[in-house]
Amino acid sequence: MPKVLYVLHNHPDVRPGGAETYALELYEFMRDYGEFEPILLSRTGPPHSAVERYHEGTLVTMVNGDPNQYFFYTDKNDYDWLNGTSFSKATFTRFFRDFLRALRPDVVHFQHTLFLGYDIVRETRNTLPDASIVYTLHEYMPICHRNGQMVRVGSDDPCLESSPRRCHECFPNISPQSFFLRKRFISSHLALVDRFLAPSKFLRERYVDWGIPRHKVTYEDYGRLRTMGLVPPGDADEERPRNRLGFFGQFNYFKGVAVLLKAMALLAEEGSDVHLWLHGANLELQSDEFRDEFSELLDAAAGSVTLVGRYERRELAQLMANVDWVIVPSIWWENSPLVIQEAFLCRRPVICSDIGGMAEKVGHGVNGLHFRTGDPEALAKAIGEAVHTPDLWKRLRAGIPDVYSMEEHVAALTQLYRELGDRRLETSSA
Amino acid sequence: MTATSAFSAGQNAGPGWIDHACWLAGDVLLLLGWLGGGEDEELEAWLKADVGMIPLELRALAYTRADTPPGGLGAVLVARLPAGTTELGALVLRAGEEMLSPGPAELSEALVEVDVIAESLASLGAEVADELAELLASVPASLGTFEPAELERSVGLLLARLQERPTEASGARSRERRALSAERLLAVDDRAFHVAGWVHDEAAELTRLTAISPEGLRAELLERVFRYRRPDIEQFYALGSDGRRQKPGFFAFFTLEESASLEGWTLEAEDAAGAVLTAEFPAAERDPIATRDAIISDLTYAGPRDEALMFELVHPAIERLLRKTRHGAELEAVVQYGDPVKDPDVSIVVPLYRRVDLLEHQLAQLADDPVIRGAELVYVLDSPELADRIEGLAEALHELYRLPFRLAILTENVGFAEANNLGASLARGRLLLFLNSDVVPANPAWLEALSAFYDLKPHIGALAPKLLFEDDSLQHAGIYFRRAAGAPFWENAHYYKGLHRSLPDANVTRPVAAVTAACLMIDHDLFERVGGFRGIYVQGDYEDTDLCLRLREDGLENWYLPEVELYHLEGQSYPSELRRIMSRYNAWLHTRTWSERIEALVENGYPAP
Repeated sequence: MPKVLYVLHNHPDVRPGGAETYALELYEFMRDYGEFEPILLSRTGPPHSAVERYHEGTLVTMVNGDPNQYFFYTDKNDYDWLNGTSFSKATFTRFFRDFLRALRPDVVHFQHTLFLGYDIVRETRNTLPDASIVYTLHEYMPICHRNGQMVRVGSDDPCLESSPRRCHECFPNISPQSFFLRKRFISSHLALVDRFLAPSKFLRERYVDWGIPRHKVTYEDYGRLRTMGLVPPGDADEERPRNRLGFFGQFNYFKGVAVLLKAMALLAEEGSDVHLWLHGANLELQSDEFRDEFSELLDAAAGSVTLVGRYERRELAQLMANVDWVIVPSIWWENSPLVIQEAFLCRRPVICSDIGGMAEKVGHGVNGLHFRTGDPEALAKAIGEAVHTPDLWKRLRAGIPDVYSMEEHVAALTQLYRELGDRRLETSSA
Repeated sequence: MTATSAFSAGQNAGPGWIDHACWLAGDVLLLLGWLGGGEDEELEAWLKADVGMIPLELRALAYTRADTPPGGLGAVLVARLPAGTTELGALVLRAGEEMLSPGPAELSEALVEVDVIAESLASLGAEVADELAELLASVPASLGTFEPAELERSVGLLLARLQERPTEASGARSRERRALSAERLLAVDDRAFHVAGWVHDEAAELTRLTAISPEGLRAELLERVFRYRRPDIEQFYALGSDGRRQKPGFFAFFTLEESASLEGWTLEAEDAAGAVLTAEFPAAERDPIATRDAIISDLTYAGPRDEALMFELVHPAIERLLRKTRHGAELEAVVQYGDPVKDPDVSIVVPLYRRVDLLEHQLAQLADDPVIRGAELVYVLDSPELADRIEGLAEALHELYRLPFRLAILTENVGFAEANNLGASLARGRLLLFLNSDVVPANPAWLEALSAFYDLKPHIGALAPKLLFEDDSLQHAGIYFRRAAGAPFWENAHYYKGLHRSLPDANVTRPVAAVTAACLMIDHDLFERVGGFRGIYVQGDYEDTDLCLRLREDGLENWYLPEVELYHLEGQSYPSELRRIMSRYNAWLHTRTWSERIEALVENGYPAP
């Protein structure tokens, strides 16, 4: 059976995260699907895990008893954040190479190369000249040095155009020449990728603008397991005002939690009877400034906000059933927010910012509402509309599409892997 | 010299100031200044702390200064600050009636690097310079410090500067500097020595470098020294690229015709202009481990191009040290617990080093195996400091587990190779199984599977099973040789380390280039015939491949048997610079002996995976 190697930057076992959970689900489903044998290699070590590597002579250790799941330890101090590469090349040229040679995958599918480096793609091509290389783009890290968010430093305006000058304006201590080189460096390695996958059309356009040839980027959304959307039956039957709001995600700046809390404060002032449940985590990882603002806003919203905190994936359906609307107030473009798919799986309409991947996945007036990005008043207004317009909730619910399933996704990927394999065969025998 | 400021503090204040201050080590401060007060007054110093005035250990020199008001003393003070002093607080200095209290700000302003202070000290005049040199030389021993290496270095630099003599060249006085430092003397034995130091001569080429024993025995070193760059010296003398090419550092190994004592050695350097510099060596280091580590740590100065050359030069010293240790080692005691096994087929030899708790773990996991009961079990303690502890422990463990075993206690730490060899010499079995103390069985019937395979396989040299890490991933699946492009040495590597035990390529029973000594079976007579493990490597490593290659020389094959699995609980070793260099040295030595054979192996049948 041909093999596909998935390379991640973090394993959900070590630190929970949306993209990594998706990757693990994909791995498990691919394994059961039976056409490609999947292997999973997840980078780890500080800052995600508390421990550094603990076996002599190898960077690879087992995740658990599964013979196809491995950790790959790297030293975060060896990582060049600007260019996206490791200072310690032996990490690739010796250890990753040994791994590739031992397992000989036919397809190497990169999910993330954070903490590993873009040049890991080159090492892959060098070591396995006949393998197909696929790269899923989860965010905009190759394009944008500000954590891949494409939001300008200072104004927080979403950014559509990277250039040496503009990037230097966001990071005055990094020269325009450095940004020029950064792009060249990253591009030279990504040029070796056979196919990029873009979970949203919006993201695809950003990369095409950046310089990746259009024929190399395929739109392919995340496939989701239907089982997570099983809400208790009869949840729509109750006749009551649909004034229960839910936020699900990391409590960080770019997710727009502050905008949402300000909107709640405005609504509280008006005497509105909406209530917000905040589900999420990683508040402790944010800056002091952000944490202070968060607490202040929480206080200001008085009794209308409940901080639920962390949740397990298996609790998601129940938690979503508890709310009527899911709010996605991100102030950055987003890609294909997993939470939107999850809301749709649980048949919850979505209220979201009017830009990027969010606006692509949610139809205003179809299965949710848009509001002006970053504007608490606009959000408060949208929420008011949502809650007080009769039958709106039911109508929007009816407009919720079927979520792209993991079955369809894996079938599409398997098809892609075969196509790429055939093509490489052709070119090598040509 | 300029005065920073004249100030007074408190009622007993008199005139005085601090010109310069300099940290010689983390807790040793040198102060240069002037105090009002009589000539023969004793100098004292305190640190002003919250708890009160803490008197400081002090070495001081008072002298007359020409550039100061009359009635007062120039002073050089070297003070040791109390443990845990992280910041320079206020000091109080006293000479008789006069007191000076420089505060933290003043002292901070006065702080300079050691090379600036060296300039100031050197211009003090010859007589004062000599007295000062004597004082400084005594500081490390008499004052003490938490950072002895740092203090030695700073004092060494100052002394060198003080001992320079200006040169005269055709009437014009030029400021070409010369200095010599004898940093280290290591005694490999009473006739073999390793010396290290540095020499800097701007005036002329070195024509002679001689080490002289207290008995007057002379060793000419110039032809045999290895010269290398010393960034610290280069910085001290602010050398440009010309100067850097001189390479101030040197070390050499030499042997004498007669024995020499270990204290009172001197070093002499002579240059083409006829100037002679002398320096005294500290007393020789004798402890073999400390000596070995000191020689190896000198190698940290080697760049990659120098490496092979340096190893070649230290090799005789290291070889001699290791041989001495081997020959000096004796069996302190051999204790038999329980009734010895009659006519054992297999003898299991286990070296114990630094950890005795592993003894219990092994016994617990071997005790219920009937085949093990029929084998002879020999433990060799290679950490003499644990002798008492292990004897008590062994008795208690035998009582509990009822497994007979022999315990051999060595007088000294002899290293992996020799400890195993000694264990083998005590063993009576036809087959030997060398086992690390951190190896435990995964399944029963492992020993008989190994012996059965060994006995059936013709032309077999060494046999090893699959070894696993604690998470069931591969720790050993056969050894191959690898060399990075352009690298000078071959290194040992384990196939598929870290990957799952079920990896198909790791489950092929086959001959391999070499196997690990962590669990190695070999015919006893064969082992003795080929000479056992060779103890020429530093601190464990490459002894196994060295043995395996010797077996191949004899026309035998080494086999890997993956159907037998044991756990080898090897953790991450804590890498230190010393350990890294030791590994490189071992790799160099191994390559030196075996490079042709290894190249042939890699080309014919045993390539890297």
